[in-house]
Amino acid sequence: MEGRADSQVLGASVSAYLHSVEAELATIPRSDRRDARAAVEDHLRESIAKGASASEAIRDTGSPRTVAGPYLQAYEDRTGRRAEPPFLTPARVVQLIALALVVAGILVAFLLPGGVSVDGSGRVRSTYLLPQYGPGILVPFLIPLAAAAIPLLAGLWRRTRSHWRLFAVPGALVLTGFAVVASASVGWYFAPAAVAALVAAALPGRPRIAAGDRAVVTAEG
Amino acid sequence: MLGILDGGEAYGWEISKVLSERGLIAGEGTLYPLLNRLHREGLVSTRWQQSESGRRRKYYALTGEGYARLNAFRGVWGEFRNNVDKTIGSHDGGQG
Repeated sequence: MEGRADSQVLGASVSAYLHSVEAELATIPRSDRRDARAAVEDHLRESIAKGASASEAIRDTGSPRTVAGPYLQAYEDRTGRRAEPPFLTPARVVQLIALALVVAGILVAFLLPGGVSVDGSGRVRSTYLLPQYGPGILVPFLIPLAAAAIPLLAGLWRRTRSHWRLFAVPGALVLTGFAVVASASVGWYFAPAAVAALVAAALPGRPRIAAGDRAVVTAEG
Repeated sequence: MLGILDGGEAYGWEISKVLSERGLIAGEGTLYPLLNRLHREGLVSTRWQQSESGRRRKYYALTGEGYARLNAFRGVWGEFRNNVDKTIGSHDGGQG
């Protein structure tokens, strides 16, 4: 509470800047994050007290990512653990649900009859996709499967883990497009997966600041 | 960092300004984790003092261990700098 009042005295731009620094430090413990914020805030106060404007003080202090770097490195040096975003964020949990719904949609498409036919003796038979069209019919279903799986696979590598929306948004759009284009036949089976993928793409890719701190959610995944 | 404190104790903002003006840090806010590490290693000591505005400032000063480390670094740096100068100098001579 005291920190919030002090930040309000400093101004909205400084408050926003400090929030951004904290967001860059979301992956380290709360106590480390608060110490970092306090040090940066003190530094800004000193600069402003010495006559710098808020924007000058922020510029000289460094971008949030630049400032956060040494703190993250210090955490890694001290603990031996990497300070990186975890794989299982709320966005990825919802994406896992989308992937499960895609698999379910594929199973439904192949296990439920796709239509009926009348054989030579006049009997009505149910038709199924695989016997009717052969193994080649599996290929189009790779599209929704890839659209749901690629955002998750991208999270397995450190280099791509922080770029959630870069993979999640196109994946959600492809999945939605598939459901719409194929709506005359099997597309509806993938509608729930498309909704889940859209929700996942809208969620932030990085974890929220721990409860009790000011809520800062980065838009960038 | 230790060299700046050799001139006497200083607080974080002062140190950051000197390093920034000399192009030795990317942003002034990057200084503090390093100061924390030097403190943990026993190379600097800290104390709090009230500033003119009434806010508390943390001052840093070299410890005995810090002075010893700085002097050791000075001994190594001189030889290193001379070797780099020789290397750069001979490379330029080769191209000329």
